Amino acid sequence: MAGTMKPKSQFRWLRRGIERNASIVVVLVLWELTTRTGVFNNFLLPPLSNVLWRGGIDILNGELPRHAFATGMRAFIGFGLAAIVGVAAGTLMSMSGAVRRIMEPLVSVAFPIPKIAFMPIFILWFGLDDLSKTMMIAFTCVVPIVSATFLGTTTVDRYFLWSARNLGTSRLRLFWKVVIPAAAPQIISGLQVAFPLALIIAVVTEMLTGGDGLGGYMIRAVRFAQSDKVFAGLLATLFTGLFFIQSFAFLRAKLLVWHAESVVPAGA
Amino acid sequence: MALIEIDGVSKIYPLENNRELTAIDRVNLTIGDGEFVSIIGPSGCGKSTLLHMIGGFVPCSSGEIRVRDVKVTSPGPDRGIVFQHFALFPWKTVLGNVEYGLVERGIAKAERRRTAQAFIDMVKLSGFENTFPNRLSGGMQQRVAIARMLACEPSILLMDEPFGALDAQTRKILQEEIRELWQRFRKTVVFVTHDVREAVYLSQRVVVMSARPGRIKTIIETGLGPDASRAAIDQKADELWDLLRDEVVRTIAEERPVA
Amino acid sequence: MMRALRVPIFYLPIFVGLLLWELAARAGLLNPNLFPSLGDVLIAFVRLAEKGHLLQHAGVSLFRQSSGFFLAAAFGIVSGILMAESRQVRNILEPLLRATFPLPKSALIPLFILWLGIGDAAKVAAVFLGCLLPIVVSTYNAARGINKQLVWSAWSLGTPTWLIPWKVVLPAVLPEVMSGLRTALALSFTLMVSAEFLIGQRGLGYLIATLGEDGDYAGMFAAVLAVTLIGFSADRLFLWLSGWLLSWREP
Repeated sequence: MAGTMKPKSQFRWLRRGIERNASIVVVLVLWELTTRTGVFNNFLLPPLSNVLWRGGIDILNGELPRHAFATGMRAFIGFGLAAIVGVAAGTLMSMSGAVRRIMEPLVSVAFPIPKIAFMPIFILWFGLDDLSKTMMIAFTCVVPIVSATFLGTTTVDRYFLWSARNLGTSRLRLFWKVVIPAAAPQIISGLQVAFPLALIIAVVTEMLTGGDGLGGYMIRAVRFAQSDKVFAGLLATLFTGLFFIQSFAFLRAKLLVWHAESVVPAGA
Repeated sequence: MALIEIDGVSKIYPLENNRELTAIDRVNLTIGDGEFVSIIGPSGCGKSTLLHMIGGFVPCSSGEIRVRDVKVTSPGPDRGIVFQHFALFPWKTVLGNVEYGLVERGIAKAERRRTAQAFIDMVKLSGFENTFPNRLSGGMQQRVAIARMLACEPSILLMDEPFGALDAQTRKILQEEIRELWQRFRKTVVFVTHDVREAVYLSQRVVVMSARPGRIKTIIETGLGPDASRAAIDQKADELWDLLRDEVVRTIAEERPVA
Repeated sequence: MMRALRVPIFYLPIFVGLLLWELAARAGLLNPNLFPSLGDVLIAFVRLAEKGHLLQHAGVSLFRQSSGFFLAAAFGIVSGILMAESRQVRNILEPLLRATFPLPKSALIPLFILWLGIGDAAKVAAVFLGCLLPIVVSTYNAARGINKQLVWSAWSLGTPTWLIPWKVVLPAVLPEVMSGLRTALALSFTLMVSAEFLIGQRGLGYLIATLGEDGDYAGMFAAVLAVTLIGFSADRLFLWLSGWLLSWREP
């Protein structure tokens, strides 16, 4: 007999919904209360309502959307560049021993170093505008992508390869028809690691050059001691990050619809 | 004299959409001191869950389990347990694992060592005291798990498909060793398995469970005492095999897919 | 002998690259204002080291980076494990984690400048908070996925419930935690350098920026080289430490 069905009260579902979001609400409420009643210095921690007000103004006058778009665009382009170059390099590495011998130490060294340290060099070479920022984003993101691609393409289950050979696939076509699709989850995993990095670096480079973009917005706010703008910028950045993550998860689910792991892992 | 009393025990899991899954439905069973009882049944019949409840790891939704008239509420060294996938602490050596329960009891180092060593020798792993589990074969790891359990001298041994992850050869060897150990120490053993023949070979009583919801279908006495000869065991096992196999097949056939 | 040579041989392409750099500079292929020769950079490096500048600034930077990192590691691991083991902790922390996860960690730097000024505190805070989240998440995920039967075995062998997270869960998840810590380590350097670029008067980030502003490009490259070396060494050191702590994993 199948599992018995007993009508449990709807309240369990509701209770769970509250449980899952309670502390966020509590924090927000406390924020507003402690600042309104003067418990916290209103300069250092402007009331939530002020922040939302300031944010609202800057959204309506187009400032925040403009900056968010700039940051997002930069991160996206830099990431895209890194993705193309990275996947290409990673695959080349797995196909050619010579390429591998040259690139492996480079990737190994590049991984742990703070690549942002090269920013002044990039500014020297590429100026203070978009190019240096985009290059830095690409530079930072390319490393995990190359690494993951290489790993994915070299560890394809040999039973896949043997089956394909057995069914008559030539060596070259093998690569396109079997290796790349089989390596896809690993590659996408690497892309997933690099993606948030793009936004992090985008924001940092903007703070360093003080131009447009959310990083510039926030650093200017600090310099002009406009604390509500700092928080508004922070919230805007949070939402931009959220948008980024969701769109990536969406793309990933679409691409990997055949793979068991196409569900976004919790906390990804 | 009943050592373990399972009294009207049920286990119900809440699911999404306000539904429930009844894993075990009002099971009653008594197990006497020194008995070797096996529980068999198809997947999903709740046999492991029942064992886990005796062990105190999983609470009963209703009913209760009593050991020596005391209700079971949490795990303890009086009910030792061994799992299918060994559950050895990978960061501890063989000795470290076997000693573990003794350390928790606060036993002094020298005595602990001696006791642990004795059990390591008993499961025929002398010489491997300082080896880490990941270097041992499956059979060896399970021996460590058994030694670890026995070192605390539990009165009840709970064994959750202990040989399920081992190859046929190793399984056979360990079955014989378990039987020997039981004959020697006459502990109470509750043994969950998929393997009908194994159940018949090892136990005096075999409990057959049905699935969804888990209930006791039938209990069969093997009629084999602890001193039975090999020949008698083999013959009885063959006789009962057919009977039990029908039960299991019938149980499987009766299962309907979950709606 | 071959084994000892294996490491240098692996890195050979890098040495070749460095050689090509120097040759290209000598051959006049590189604009010395944009791309100083390797030789000049090395000379500048030695100069900075001799004067004690490198050590001084590196020391300050490392202090900030390590304090932030170790604080994040300690808090992060404990929180991650508690979240996995205790429903109450999980209910409180998980929504907050989920809400702050999409925020790029570097965005916190202006906030910390606002709150803590331009001294050490802001930088340590930036590193601490930036690294905290990834560590909590990776520890929590690892602890969630732990084999329940390990916990049950310890429980049945007499370990009290409150000790189980520390005696069983922590050692069991250590491999994954170390992996997460390694990523966080690299992040800590990035955050430290970023913060130092923006504010303050000491530290390697500051040094790089100042040398650049003064036009001493060879020196700037040398300072970047110093940061690179430190980051790389820290990572290798961490790997070695991991290997030692997790020696029980060797097959």
